[in-house]
Amino acid sequence: MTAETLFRYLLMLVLAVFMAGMIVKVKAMWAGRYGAPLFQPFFEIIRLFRKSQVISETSSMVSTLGPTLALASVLAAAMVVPVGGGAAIMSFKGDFIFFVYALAAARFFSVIIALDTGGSIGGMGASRVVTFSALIEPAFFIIIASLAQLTGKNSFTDIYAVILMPDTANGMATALTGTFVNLAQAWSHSELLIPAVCGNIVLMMFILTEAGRLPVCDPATLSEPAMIHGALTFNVSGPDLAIMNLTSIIKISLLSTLITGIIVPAWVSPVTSLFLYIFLMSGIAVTIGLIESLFARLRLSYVPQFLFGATGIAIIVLAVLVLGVKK
Amino acid sequence: MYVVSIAVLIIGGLIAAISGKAAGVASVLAVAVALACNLFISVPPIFYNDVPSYVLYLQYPMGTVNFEIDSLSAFFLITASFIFFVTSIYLYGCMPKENRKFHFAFFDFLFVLVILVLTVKNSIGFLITLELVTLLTVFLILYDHKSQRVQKSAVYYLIAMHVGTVFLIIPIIILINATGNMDFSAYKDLLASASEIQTPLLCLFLLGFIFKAGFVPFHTANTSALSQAQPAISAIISAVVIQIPIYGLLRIITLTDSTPLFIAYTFLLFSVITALYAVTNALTQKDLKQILSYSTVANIGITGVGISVGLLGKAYGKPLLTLLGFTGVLFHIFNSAVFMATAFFACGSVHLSTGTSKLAELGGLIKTMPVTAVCFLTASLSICALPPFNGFISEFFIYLSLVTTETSSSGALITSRVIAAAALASVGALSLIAYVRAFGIIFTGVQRCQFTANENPRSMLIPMALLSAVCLIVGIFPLPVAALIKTPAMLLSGVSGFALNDALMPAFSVSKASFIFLLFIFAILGLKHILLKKRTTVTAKTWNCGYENVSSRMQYTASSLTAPLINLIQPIVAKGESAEGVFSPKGDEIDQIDVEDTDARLSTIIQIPGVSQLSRKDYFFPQVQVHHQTEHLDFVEHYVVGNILKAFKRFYNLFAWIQTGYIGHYLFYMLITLLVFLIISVWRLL
Repeated sequence: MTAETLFRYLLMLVLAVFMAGMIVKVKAMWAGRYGAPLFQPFFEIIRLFRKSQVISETSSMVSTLGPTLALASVLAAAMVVPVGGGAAIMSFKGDFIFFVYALAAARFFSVIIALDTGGSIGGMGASRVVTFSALIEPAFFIIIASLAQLTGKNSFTDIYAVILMPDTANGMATALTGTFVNLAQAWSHSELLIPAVCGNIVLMMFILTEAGRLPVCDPATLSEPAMIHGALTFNVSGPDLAIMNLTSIIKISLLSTLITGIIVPAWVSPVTSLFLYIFLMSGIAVTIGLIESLFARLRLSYVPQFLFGATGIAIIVLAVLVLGVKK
Repeated sequence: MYVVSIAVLIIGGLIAAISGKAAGVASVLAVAVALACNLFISVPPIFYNDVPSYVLYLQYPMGTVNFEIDSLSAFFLITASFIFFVTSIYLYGCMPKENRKFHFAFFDFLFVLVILVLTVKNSIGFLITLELVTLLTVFLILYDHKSQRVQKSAVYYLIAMHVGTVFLIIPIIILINATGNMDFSAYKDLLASASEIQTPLLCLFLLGFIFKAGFVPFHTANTSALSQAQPAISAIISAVVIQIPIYGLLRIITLTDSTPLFIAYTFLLFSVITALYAVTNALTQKDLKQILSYSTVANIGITGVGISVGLLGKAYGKPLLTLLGFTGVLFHIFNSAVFMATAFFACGSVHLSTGTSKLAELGGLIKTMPVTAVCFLTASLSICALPPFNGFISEFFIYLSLVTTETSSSGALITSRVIAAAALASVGALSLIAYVRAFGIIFTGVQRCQFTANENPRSMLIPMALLSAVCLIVGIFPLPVAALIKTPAMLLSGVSGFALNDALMPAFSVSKASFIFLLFIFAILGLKHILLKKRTTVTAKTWNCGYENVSSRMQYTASSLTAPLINLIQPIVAKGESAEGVFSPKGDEIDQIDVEDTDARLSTIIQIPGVSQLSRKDYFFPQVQVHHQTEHLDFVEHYVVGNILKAFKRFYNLFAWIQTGYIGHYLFYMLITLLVFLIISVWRLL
């Protein structure tokens, strides 16, 4: 762990709050309003941290410890994510397995908080969270495992290093950076363009599901049948609510960083790469904001189709991998 | 030492059987001494690769029987001894005051047989001890011998295990005929490399062992035994007895240099299906014991995935794959033994305290039984393979064997592994649902039924807490277990030590990441503590969108929690219906149907005797009260195995006329048989 990786890690966490503000801003502007300041989510979190707590009389130590454990899991998962073309704080063989399972741990803890209060609404949200995640997780694994096989590397940092470095293994990098530098060159490597595009689409769908955004769930709603994530924090207040909110916005930032990791070229200087990273993260926030402005929430019975769609796209990547190997 | 441990156990068992009051103490002490002895004899094979051996001379058919403790045996011996020791304390604590001396005696004798089956190197000896293990397990399952369901599942288990043995007897007899030797080591030449005889032999061995280990579709005997036995015994079955066929399989693998590809791929397919099918069923069950028993089967499937990747690595000549696969397998055998035992202990604790393990009747136990709740939470997190618990370490290695990159791999190898990794990810996500459900419904929320739950005596809690601590410690510092599995992994994969150290490296990184994870937890807790120090925390009613009168019946139920998912995967889980407490129009109870009976569980209301004559409108008036419930049944158990058993019944019914019940007829049959033999022998003489 160097000072630089630590800085990048903290930048990712700060950007999480910024992205949340950005999404709200985009939605407001699209609706013709001026919107809250960009750092409003930051003020909200500070406000919640300054409050005292109200807890349900049926709740137990699960409710007291749960939010902490969930945030710690997400922070631990964040350690293995390489930020903006740099290295991650920790990188080891198979670190993406740790990433997925640490996120799963966060899910476990936030879901049992919802069940702890003994109400009916928490259970509803809990049921949806675990179901949707169970459907999207295989897609994510197929993408990551295929990328690992394509690049011949076994950790996030190494995979991205191969993807981003021009003139390294497989010629994939030239194709990918070419996507943005030289489109013509990219099309000449179309069989490698496909995994990159599909991978990004699946990651985007993964973000929308894991973070409970539209079209899977509307985070702004308070109507009971529409809620997924809102239901989990129904009986959480004060610092614990701040921690839960942080957990959910850091998740968006983590997964978005994974998308930018495929895009930021490594041959730019570290400072440029950071600026590019911030720019791309804002781009993703704007995209999420636009999706939330333009799309309606899916009917709950159609959400599984959306998630199976993600698996379908992931299988395309696998098919490309297999065809590539046969050559 | 080996002889001492066996002798002490036998003596302890005999004392337990003779003396009434001291039975528990005698058993615990004997198991403790045996544990110490087994640890002592396991040190040389594991750390110095020095194999102690013992020879037993028997009468003619057996001849000399070799007992050897090589590293593989030693690894299983340590795991089994540890679990036996912890379980013996738990058993001592949970046994009611009634006279159960034979139960303790059987427990000790089972331990003796497990030691024997893990160390004997004689094929016939292995079969005999394996069968005796089954027999003693059946005795232990029959703890609650008056219950019909227990009797049924014990008999079912016994029969199924014997059928599994048939597949093992055939290849062993062929091998004995071919070599004239009963020692496993003598079969090395025949099994080592691809030949005409190797493939069918391996197929039979594989079939026998996966039958006994309970891979889908052969899992039904194991799940019914696990869910009917006393939880302490279920822990032993899940952590030790089911692992013995896996040991047998690994023992055969040590004799082979490479296996045919199709065997490895078929085994991979079987394992993936087992894990997926079992975990799907785990999340539909309504009883904690059932959830745990399906979870055991899912873990066997995950172990199988590791073994098959190891075999694939051997077949393709990729040492890294082989190493990672077998390392994952050995890790998983140890870890799953620990966390499944913890989960079963917690289940037993809940059952003893509340008298039920049905999810729909429990709730809010974390307040009255905090230790049990925390232990079950630890076990759940381990079973779901979440960091920083031990389940994660083992599944991490199995995943790594699936996603690790190898130069010049074939397309089939890559594709099958990536798909298996995705399937394993589904298994992880689904078992998370199963355990969120189990923990959330049983321990959090409000009590659903009227009962007083109290925490159990310390002798039950200490073993549970000890195993939970092991779950966490191994998750953060896997080094001691890694040291244990080093030599057996080398034996299985045939790869030297340096490569192994390389393969084990990620474990240290994971342990570092898990450690930082813990630091994060403490940091956030500290922050919260500082923030909340001067503030008052207010308690209020659960906020339910403004509704004030929240009652325990408004909680989300176990069935509704998984309903959205089950609707998606409907064909895999069959729906069954049942009814109980049916009342006649006059108000007197006419027929209390037995929901314990599986056939009745399948029947709908209309088929219940006494109700069929009621008209349809009677259901809608208070004269008739029908408590109707739907449940999800194991598709394989009720349709596949059920129909096969029915077909057998029909076939045997064809010969039912032979059994007339008159002694004279039977004597006549004997006479005819003797005559037939006489004629045949005379014919041959001519």
